[in-house]
Amino acid sequence: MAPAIRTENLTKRFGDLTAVDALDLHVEEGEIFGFLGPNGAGKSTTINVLLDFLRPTEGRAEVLGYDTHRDPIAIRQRTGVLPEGFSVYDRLTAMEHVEYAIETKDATDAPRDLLSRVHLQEEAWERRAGEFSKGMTQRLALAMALVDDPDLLVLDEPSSGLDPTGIQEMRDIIREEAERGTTVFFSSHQLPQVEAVCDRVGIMREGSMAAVDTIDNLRDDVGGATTIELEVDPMPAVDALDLTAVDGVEHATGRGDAIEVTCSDPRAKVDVVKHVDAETTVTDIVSDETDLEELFNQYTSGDGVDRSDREQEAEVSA
Amino acid sequence: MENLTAIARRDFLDARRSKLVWGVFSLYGIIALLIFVGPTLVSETVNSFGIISIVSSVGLFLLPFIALVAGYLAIAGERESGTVNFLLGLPNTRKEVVLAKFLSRGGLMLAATMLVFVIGVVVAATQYSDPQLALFAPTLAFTALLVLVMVSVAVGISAMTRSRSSAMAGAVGFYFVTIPFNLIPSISIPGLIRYVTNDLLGMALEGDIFQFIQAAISPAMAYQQGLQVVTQRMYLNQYATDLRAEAKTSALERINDQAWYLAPEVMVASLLVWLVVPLAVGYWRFKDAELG
Repeated sequence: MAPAIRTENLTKRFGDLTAVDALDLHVEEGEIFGFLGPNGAGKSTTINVLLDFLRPTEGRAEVLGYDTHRDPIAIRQRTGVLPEGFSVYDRLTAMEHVEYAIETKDATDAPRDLLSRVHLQEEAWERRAGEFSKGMTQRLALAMALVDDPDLLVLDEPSSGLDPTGIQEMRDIIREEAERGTTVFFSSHQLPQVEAVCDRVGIMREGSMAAVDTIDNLRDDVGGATTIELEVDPMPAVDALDLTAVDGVEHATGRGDAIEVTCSDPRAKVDVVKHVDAETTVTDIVSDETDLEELFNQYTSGDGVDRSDREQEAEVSA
Repeated sequence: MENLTAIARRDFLDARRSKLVWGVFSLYGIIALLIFVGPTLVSETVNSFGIISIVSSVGLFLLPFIALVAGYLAIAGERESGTVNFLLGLPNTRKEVVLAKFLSRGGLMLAATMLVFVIGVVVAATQYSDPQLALFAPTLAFTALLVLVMVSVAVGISAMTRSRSSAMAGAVGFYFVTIPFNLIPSISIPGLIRYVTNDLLGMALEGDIFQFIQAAISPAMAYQQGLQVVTQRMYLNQYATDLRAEAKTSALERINDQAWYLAPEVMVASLLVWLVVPLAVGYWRFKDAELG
């Protein structure tokens, strides 16, 4: 079966600016793929090529097995899109928007079901969308994207303008869609939501893919240290515990009634807890894995991950 | 193409709820009423021929203005606001978008024009001393053609531009070059051509050629030229009972003496070209335009 999204050597230049640089992207059918990167990394440009809003300068892109430029209608018939930088029709109601999408796709959905699924409050259904807040607009756009149970959902920054509840609901909908077999491709510069739902993520940086993998593997690659914080009573002398003797522990410090231990190997955490518990009573444990944000910064800043790029920079400066 | 009606219907709905559209159409209605009803208030003897010559002179300026306002944002406005991303995220082709916009804005203009003419016919039949109702038929036909042509121009310009401001610049530019400037020989395009051919090159081309150029580059002028000839002929043949036979004949001869390329049929042909070309050029530019 064809991958849901495939680009080969996809390059998009605007004059002198290379927004997307020889991108090879593969998104498998049925997966939830998080497309990450800071603003300006080329995420929206890539999505706009997939939607045939922009034409590739070089290379090609396929969605659901169709060429994005030759068969855009076949793609859109089976794809739900939440575009970036969109606005709704100010003078049409929420209901009219959804009906519009249903009619265009020759679908049989009930507009009310879609609007309640995205949790747009019922009082708003017959109101003109021009009066909507950003969050309501975003929900309406998602309802339109869900019309006709698409095989692929392309969501460009879906959580922008949503409050935490809205973001949670958006995540739930993404998961539900994926369970029905829908491939979900969404971009974000906000990391926590990607971490929570994605099977795989791709991190864009200056028009290229800096990394593609599962969150767990990326974390391993970066080799991020894990910290564990133990609340203890009574507080022993930390040096006397000699925690650095435990395999995989880098260092340990005491802070108030807690001991903070940094482990280079996450598996050391259990040993640390046992070791401390032998000397005193552990009242609480807080384990803090490498923050995805930190991971993301490492990839996008080019520190310590992408060696070839560093070498290039060195050449330039030399 | 089955999505044409879906897009056109939503666009019609959207435009119908727009204050700007209501504003310009009210202006249209008020001016039409003034033309149709006004003369009955100041004169006992009113005939449709006189009224329709006012319609063709005022319409020359007014109809293109209203049609341009009704259409210039059709696509450029959606590109600037980002609603076009919805429209093209759904399974609509760009061709469908351009044609649907033409259908909805053209339909809007046509509906308003029909309404105005129904009022005009009713007023003429009941209030005029000399209703001459048959004259309304060619007048409506020419007016309907002109408004559709100007909507095509407006939508075409809109499809070529990416922002509201450049669409407006295009529409305003088209209006001034083809209508007011076209009437002032020193700054009109036919005037400039005449300066080159006749004054610089000494070619002594006749006036009809420049009148043709004036009409060919401007749908509004073609409308006026065509409509006036048709209604004058019709009036002289059917209604001018108070004119002596020789006067009628000489008036008809004067009309028939004009070059063949100024005939109403040629003006209609020119308008039909104007109906198609702007939409085609607009689509050709929009087809490969980069959005977002």
